[in-house]
Amino acid sequence: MFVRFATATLATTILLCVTPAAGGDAPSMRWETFDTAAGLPSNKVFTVLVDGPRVWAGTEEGLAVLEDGTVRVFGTAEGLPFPAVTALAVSDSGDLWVGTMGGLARLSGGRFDVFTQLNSGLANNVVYGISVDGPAVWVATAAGLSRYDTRTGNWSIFDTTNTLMHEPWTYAVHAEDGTVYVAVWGGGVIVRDGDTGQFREHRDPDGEMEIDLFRDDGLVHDVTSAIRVADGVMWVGTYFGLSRYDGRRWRSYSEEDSGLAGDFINYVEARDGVAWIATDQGLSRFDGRTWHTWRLLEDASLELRIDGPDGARTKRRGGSGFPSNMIFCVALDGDDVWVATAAGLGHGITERPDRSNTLNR
Amino acid sequence: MTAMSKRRLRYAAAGFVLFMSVLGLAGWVGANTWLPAHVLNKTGRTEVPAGLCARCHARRSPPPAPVDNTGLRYVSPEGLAVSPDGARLFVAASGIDRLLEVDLSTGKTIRSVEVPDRPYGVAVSADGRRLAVSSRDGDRVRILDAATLEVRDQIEVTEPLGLALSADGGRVFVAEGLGNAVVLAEPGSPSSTDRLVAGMQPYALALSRDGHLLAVANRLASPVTPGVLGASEVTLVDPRRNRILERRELRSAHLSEGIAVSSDGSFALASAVRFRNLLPLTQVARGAVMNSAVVFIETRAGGRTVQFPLDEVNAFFADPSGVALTPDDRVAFVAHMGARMVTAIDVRALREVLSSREGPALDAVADDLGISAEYVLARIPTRQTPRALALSPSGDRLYVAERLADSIAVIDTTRFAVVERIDLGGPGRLTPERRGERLFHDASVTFQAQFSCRSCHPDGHSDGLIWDFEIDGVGRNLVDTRSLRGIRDTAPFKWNGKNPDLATQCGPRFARVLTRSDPFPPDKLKDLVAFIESIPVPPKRPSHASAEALESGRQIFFRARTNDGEMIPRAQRCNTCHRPPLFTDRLVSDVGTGGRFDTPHLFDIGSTAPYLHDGRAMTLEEIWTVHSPEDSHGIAEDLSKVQLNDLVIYLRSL
Repeated sequence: MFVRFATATLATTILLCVTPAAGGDAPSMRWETFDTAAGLPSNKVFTVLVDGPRVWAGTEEGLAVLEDGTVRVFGTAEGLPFPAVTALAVSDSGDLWVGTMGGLARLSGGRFDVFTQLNSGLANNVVYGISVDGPAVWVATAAGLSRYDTRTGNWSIFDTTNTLMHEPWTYAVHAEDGTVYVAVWGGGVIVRDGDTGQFREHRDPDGEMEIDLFRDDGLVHDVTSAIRVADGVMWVGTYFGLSRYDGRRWRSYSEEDSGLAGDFINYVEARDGVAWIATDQGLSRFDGRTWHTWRLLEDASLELRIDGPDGARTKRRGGSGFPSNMIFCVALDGDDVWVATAAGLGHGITERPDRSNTLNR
Repeated sequence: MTAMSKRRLRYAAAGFVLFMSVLGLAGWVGANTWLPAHVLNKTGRTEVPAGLCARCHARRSPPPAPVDNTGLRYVSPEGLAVSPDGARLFVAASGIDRLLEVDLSTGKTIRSVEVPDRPYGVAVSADGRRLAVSSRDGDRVRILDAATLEVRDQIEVTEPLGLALSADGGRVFVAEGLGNAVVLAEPGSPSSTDRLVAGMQPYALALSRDGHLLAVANRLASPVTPGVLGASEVTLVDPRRNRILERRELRSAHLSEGIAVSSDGSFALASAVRFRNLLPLTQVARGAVMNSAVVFIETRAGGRTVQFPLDEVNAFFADPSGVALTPDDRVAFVAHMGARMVTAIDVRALREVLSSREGPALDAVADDLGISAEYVLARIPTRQTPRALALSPSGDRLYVAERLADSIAVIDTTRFAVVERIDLGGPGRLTPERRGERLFHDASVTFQAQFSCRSCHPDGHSDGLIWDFEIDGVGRNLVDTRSLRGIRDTAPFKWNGKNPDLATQCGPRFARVLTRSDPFPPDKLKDLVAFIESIPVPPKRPSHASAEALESGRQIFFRARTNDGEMIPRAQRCNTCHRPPLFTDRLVSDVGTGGRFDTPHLFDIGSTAPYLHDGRAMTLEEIWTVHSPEDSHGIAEDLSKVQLNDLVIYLRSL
């Protein structure tokens, strides 16, 4: 397995070093791809999670973990409730929560515990997002938001009957210190106050489904697909652009008027004031001033596009190793980044003079 | 007698006849009109014999409270710990809610302190400064100053059982029985408390001397589909990182109640009962249904886990519990509650078996009752129900908590003999309940002493297994083990509801089918029934669910109309069959599972998985989502998932 893994990785790793024209602290990255040749069960990777030295990848055909230069795969034979893995989260105690298209699972000490809509209080088997906040595991499903209390075993469901949700499809959830942020397809964002249990909502003020009538007036669109809160800033991905809310004002970003790779956003990650946006047109990084966007061109070469705060755009081409523009998820790993794509798992390695490749991470 | 008197007598007789006729007529009319209507109204049934008023109107008091209703309180030592200097023995006296401190030079109790709500486990830190005591029913672990026996801190844990303290007493590790977790806490620092998911009902744990390994014995096997072999686990934890290292599956084994770790942490030994519930119980006569084992666990990553039988061909030592290992790792001891015995094991001989076999040959050891002669050093008889074990620091003395004898046996570990006995006091006479409890835990009542009542009903509860009660050796008759908690007034018994009382249930027929031995003599049967009737329901725990969810669930349980406003037929309402206060109508019902079965009560239902007569439902949810076709188990099809969750929350609160 290791030989196959290493060979495939080396074969797909080509350096792409970029010196950005703007944004002096922008990353210089090379990319490598992990696919079925490297041991993944499928090239369609829906989600990725970094847990210390392990990188977990949820694919269409099972769960994989990359550790110590090897890939280990978990499928239904190992206890996974369904092959297609759509969401991952890890608890403080090290348990991995796995969302699939056929239920939720907890991988703890090598043992899978399965929760489905039939054997538990899970709202629906189709799981889109998971967030762990202390003893509470929040699960965004196709029929509402579920909460599992790991101390008591109690389940709660939050849906159109008991919240402000207008639609039951919850696509993403982020829970932190008791507050829960939920991206509701067609219903904007709802936020649950941890102290009162009350919900409030953020909706697209113009209510337009085709256009964003007034820029920066609020959520860019009600069809939300991703949410992340970091450093007091809420980032919301929609199928029509990106929204940023700092508690006082909203900002909207679209492919047309910013460096955003595409308006169809699958996932948002944020840390230290920098947001990483997974779209169907590539990967974008936004530090509040400068955009960096990686995407494959038609000739399969990789382009890094940099949009500075002054509106200047520069492009660099060359290299490969970036799997696909259809990016489903992004995870941060120190200075590195991992992307789950439709053509494998991508690893963006920040170039530093003292770093060699990370095959033996 | 005058003519007048005779006439009056005739009139009186005629009047009496007339009165009785009218009464009889009224009774006949009532019995054929009002009474069936009354029964139908209350039970939703037409087939219930209307004359059996007592079935519904007999005494139906709440289940017994968790106290001895005779007024006598036995000491019932559960947990033991020896001070590092070997001078004192600390005893968790569960029957009198006290922690006892025994001077081992005199065998006398020199101090005691109240520890309410059934003290269970006790541990002492290696520096001798701290004690930890778990209160099983009080959901609390108390940290005491060993010098003053004053409580210094408390930690909330749901049903705390076994525990351990770090060398300096700064950390406490607790097996959280009902939470299926191991709790790692720093007293005085609630935010540092971690809970790791363990197996089913973690029961005992042991910390390696260097503090790098915590081994957790879990008592029950995870519920599995009928016909599938179950397994429990030993959980290996890194207490420095608060992470699960590994889960070692104990295939076809459970009731692991004791565990010890070697001095260098390289291996652990756990007790277990090896069960073969896929075989029909006819196999009791062939000694193939369950046997005792000690499990050798190599703790290195990917190490072996091997079950070694402790029984012999035609000689069984039932209900293994506490485990102790001498400081030099040479001799292990296992207490057998059902056999009133402690087995001494040559650990070096276990290692030799491990080194001389591999693959299938090593796997076969688990079922080879003849092999125990290679490593069993001695069988040491004790008094009733030896449970917890504790060794002196030098390893020359083994202390055995004889729970139902209210005493501590002191065993010389070189002579393998009881050399002293510490009497912990107590009432001095045995109530019927206490005699019955001894019988309940005594394996000598079964064929070759293979098992006791508690083997399937630990703590009067359920082992969570599905047994094949096929008595003819042909076919299958799968039944889920039912809990005995709170069943006093819930007759009839047995899943088919054919036993009208516990005396019948536990009587001669039971002996023929299950224990394969002589039935209990009448006086003993009476005692046994008295004990079973005294088994309490555990105290109610806070639900931790929202008040709204609880109330919603309660309303669903008692509802008479569907969400659409349609009237639910009486027979298909939850509270008709599961009628308060006992939450059973004491009738048999067809809930779509292939026959008519006794309605179980619902107390403590959250901890009695699996469900339904043959255990086909792994969870409460599955009763309705999978196993209630056509609303055969009450009208629930109209319930939303939110409502079903609320109903489950309410049921788990009972």
